[in-house]
Amino acid sequence: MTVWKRVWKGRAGYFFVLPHFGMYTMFFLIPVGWGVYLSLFDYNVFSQEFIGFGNFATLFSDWLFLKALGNTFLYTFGVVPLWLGKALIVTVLLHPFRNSIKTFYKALFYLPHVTSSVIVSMIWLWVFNPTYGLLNYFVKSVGLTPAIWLGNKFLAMPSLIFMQFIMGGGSTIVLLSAAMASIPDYYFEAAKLEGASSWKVFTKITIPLLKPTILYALIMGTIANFQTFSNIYIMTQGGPEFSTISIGYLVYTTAFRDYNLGLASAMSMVMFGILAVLGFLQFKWLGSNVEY
Amino acid sequence: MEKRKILIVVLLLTLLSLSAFSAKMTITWWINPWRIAPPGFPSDKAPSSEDYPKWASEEFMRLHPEVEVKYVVVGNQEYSQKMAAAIATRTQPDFFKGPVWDSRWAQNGLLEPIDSYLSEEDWKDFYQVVLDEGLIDGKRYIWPWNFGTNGMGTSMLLYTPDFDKAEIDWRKIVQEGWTMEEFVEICKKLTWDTDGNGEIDHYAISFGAKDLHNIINFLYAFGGRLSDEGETTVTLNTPEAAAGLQFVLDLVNKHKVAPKGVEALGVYDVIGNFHSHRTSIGFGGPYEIGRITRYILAGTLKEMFYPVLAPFPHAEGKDPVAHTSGSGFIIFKQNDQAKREMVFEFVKFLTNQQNLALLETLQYLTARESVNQKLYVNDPYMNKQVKTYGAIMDKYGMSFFGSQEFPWSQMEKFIISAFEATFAGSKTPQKALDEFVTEADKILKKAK
Repeated sequence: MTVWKRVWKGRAGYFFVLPHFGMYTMFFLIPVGWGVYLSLFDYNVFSQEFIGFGNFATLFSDWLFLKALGNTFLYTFGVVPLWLGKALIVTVLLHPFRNSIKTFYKALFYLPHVTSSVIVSMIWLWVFNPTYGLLNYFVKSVGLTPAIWLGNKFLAMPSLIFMQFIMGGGSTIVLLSAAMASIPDYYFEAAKLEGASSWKVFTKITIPLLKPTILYALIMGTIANFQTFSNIYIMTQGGPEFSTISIGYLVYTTAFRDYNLGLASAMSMVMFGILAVLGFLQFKWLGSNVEY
Repeated sequence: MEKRKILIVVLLLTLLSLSAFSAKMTITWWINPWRIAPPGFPSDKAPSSEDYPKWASEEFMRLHPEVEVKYVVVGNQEYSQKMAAAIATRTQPDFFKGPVWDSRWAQNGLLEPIDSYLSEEDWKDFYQVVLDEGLIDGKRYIWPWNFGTNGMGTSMLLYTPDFDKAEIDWRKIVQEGWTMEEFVEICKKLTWDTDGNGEIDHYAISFGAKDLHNIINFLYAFGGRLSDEGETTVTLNTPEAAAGLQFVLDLVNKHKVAPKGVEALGVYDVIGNFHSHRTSIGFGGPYEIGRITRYILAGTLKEMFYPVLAPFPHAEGKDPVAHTSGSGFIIFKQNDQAKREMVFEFVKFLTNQQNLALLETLQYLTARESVNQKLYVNDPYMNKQVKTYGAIMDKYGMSFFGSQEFPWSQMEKFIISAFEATFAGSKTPQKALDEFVTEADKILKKAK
């Protein structure tokens, strides 16, 4: 059967896929293709000159880009495991409760997710304020020396990770709760009858059966955090001393402050490549399905 | 059949030509949020950023019925992003007033020079410093609108009740200025423990590492300069500049008259400290006094207060310095002669004496000397502040950030980093400024 015949045979399916594919092409494939194209130019809005891989050479010899890359990895690998750990623990703790209680807590954890990240960042700016902030108020009240959370280059990144850990993970809790609800109860009952400890049940039944959902949350969390921008933009602007500058923020300043769209596109391409590799590795290591 | 076809074609052509005749000329302009009260606006309400451009557009359309004016209010934060996207997609407005622009736009022929559209009266009336703000390769590209910005780096604001409480003669400071030594002593008197728990909770002043204008003022006051005369080398690491930065650092660490944590603070933290009377000295010009009124009307500040303007302190034997700039409307290249004329007509309308005077509602000085002489005649307090502000800019004004061709915007992140490092104690002022100059020089050489 020729390709055209096969397409014709499945025309109903293609017809239903078409609107989504059209949108996907328009809002994803074309911009990505355009980004690849721009990354090969010295393009500053009003003039463009083809320079091949010149932008990429510039990037990898630029200490600020390498610093941003390192920070982005640090932030992502700081936040994602904490998010997942928190989501797993909360999900397991909520599981035995009746539905109304579960729903209440899920809504509570999900709430920050529907709040504007700008508002959240502004609230946390006040929390971290060195002189009049809430955190230092508690620190002082227990007799410790207050810290300049966002002004100290060694504390700023952990502070941002801590904020993201507290505020994030709501959607992962909802996802994991749904996945947990689909695990048949008799697995847990059988394990109990066999005398398995809670830890054994958690590591040998709960985790393996949640693995596909964990994988999904891991990949989506990695992608989202790797592109982090608004909290850095609002709270630190990449400072102090570039200790919190991320690729997402550097792309923004390069494109819209320095008007160097070619270099910014090259940064985006590097980010895209790294995320693709990370996604591939996560699938490779965690993608195996578990069946009992 | 043939006749009918001809008739239809003729009819269509007639309709097309009619629609062409009746089509209005459309002018699109962008403006960042300027909460100016248009004529007749209720005095007990805070104007929104839409009120002024809406009024101006409608008024111009009333005067020119053949023109349709579309305005877009673009937020300060996203302005450069939207403008870059608009230029890249050739959908830029006909003219704009914004917080950002790039001299490369003029150098690449995207903008209209304004010189030939300025009348003789305009040349005389507009302040030279504002006219020169958009001077690139001998041509001007900014149609003057306002003189001075919000006054950051230009003047200080003194909360007089605190000065009275500490028995400091603030009137003398306003009239005669203050030396750095006097400033330190006064700051010490303005720093105290309000609730008596043994901890300082009220400071004389506060700084933010991201609040560049005000810190850079001290670097300039000690004799530091961003670059050499020809703007070929960045020079902000001279011993004088380092001494200025050390002075600000000493205010925090040695004299303890400013709160710690400068490295984590920005301009709004500094403003907030002054508004809440946690500090007695703030920064800014008449616009910052207007901010107090606006915050009161918007309900974000409870109690009205009336600070007075004073110059920044000066080093012994030197004059104070004040950051001075102006801004205005920038016109994008117009291929249609008639439209170009109309765009300039609109810009002239916005900046005629009567309409320029509306800046008074925002406590801004205008770019016209003739208008400024008539501002605040019925408000002795504001009249005094505006006169002080004008005198400071007139006597001590200079631009801290170089000409329009100087790539300051690309250097900004490195000076912020240098200030952060200094106040965090991870680098000495000299080392931090040396590192800034290394990075800034690279940018300057690339730009040249």
